[in-house]
Amino acid sequence: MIKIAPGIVSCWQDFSLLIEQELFFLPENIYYLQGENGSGKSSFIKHSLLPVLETQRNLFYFLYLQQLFHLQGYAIKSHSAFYQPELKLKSEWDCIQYLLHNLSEIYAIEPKPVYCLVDENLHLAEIYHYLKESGIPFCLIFCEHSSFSITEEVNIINFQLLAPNQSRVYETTI
Amino acid sequence: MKPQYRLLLVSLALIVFFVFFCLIYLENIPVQLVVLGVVLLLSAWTFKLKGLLKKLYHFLPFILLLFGVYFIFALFQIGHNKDYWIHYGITRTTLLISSLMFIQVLITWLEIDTFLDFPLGIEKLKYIILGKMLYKIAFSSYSELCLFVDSIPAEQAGKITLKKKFRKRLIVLLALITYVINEATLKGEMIDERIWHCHKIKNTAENKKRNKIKWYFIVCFTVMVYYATILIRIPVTSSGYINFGDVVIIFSGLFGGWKAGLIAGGIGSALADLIGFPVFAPITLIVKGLEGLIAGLAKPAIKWQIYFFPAIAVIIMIAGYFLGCWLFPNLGFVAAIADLPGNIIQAVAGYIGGIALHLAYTKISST
Repeated sequence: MIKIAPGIVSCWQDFSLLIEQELFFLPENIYYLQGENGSGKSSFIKHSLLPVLETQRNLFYFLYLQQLFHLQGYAIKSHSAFYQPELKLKSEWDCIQYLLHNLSEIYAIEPKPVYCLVDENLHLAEIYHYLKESGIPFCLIFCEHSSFSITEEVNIINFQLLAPNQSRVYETTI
Repeated sequence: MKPQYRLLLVSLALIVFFVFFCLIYLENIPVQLVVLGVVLLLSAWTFKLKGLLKKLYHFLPFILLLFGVYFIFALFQIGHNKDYWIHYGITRTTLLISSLMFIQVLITWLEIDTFLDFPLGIEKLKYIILGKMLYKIAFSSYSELCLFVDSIPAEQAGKITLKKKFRKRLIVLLALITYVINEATLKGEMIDERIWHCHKIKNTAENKKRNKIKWYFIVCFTVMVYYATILIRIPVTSSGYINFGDVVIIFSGLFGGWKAGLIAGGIGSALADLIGFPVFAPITLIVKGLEGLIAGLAKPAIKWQIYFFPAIAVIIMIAGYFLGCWLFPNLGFVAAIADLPGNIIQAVAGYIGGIALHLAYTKISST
């Protein structure tokens, strides 16, 4: 489980997030980050969730898929050029599949739950189904503007713009 | 002040400093100590006390290493008696610190925008314009690329060993180089088009035929050598580190040929030294330029040459630094000995990394 402490998180010079109560992200749960554009969902992933996950590498794996995939594509292709040079990664989905297969291989050697953070990625549904079928215990944290149907219970983390430079973050469940 | 006068003033100050304190008063301990005091005051005024301490901390490993070697030479009275080595050690060490700091102070007077104000034609300024752009791109992408490589599950499993750290930096470097090469191509072509459109100067078909390597690749590699030298590092002991400058020099030679290797290796590394260890900059300009040139003699299509020429290149780098340090007045034989182990580690890392990067880039660019 990872915890985000309440308080004000400064994301960049002119923007901060007001986290009202402690937020818990449990393995085998799904969290939907909901809020309008510019309300700080991507910043929350980058400035609150990722630093916590990076310090808990011995307990969890994490997958992070960024909203603008361009630069991330270079990183994944470079990784494959060293470790699996026979692969030809052309599209964004090829790169995501590489990450998912890599996760399955590593999980088979050293099983640990995975936190999957998906920031407005077109392949969210495929990622969800892959993880579901793989049997790897996962926590999916995503933000998405288009419809994404899940039959499971989803915890909603709301981002409400209080002012142009601050958003309020709070949790509800459906 | 006009930029050309500023450059002239900096060059004059450097020449005066070199002639007086590295040649005429080299053996005079009181003069060297006064110079050190004045330079430290000047540095504290320029960088503030915290900045000065940070810079001195950066030089500390090399200074300590130098002290260690002087101590051994004095203890065993190698070649000369104890007093000689104590005198030699004090003068060389004080001069090393004062020249390092003095050049750093002078460099603060010259920023990249100073060069953009030079009365040069657009055909020359385009190198500086693109270099500045590419440096910003590299600087803003590196930490994100590190995060993306970190978020690949294989990088999160197992123990973090030196080999794993080295390979991870190579992956990030490959991603960064691929990205910067693509950006250089786009922006370079765009600049050429704008120059043609606005100034009616052709870059041009004839030039393209004459030069096998395009100008923007040379700028790209120079920026990448500079960037990899100052910012991509792995600590190898409690006091030292490997930088990835040599990795990029070997890669530049293999990718772009001798000309790209020569310019990127020489200028990129010398610029990095001006920020870190400025007294080495003249030696670096020649030695790393040669390293890139020799690596660039390899024809990538012939496999044995990919391994052979970079090996010669890094051996020349080690020998070049040794000789360069030995012959340089404010460094000398002891500094050459102290610098040797670090250069050997650096050379091995550059050789392995440079070839691995070249082979991986060949794979990535074919997709």
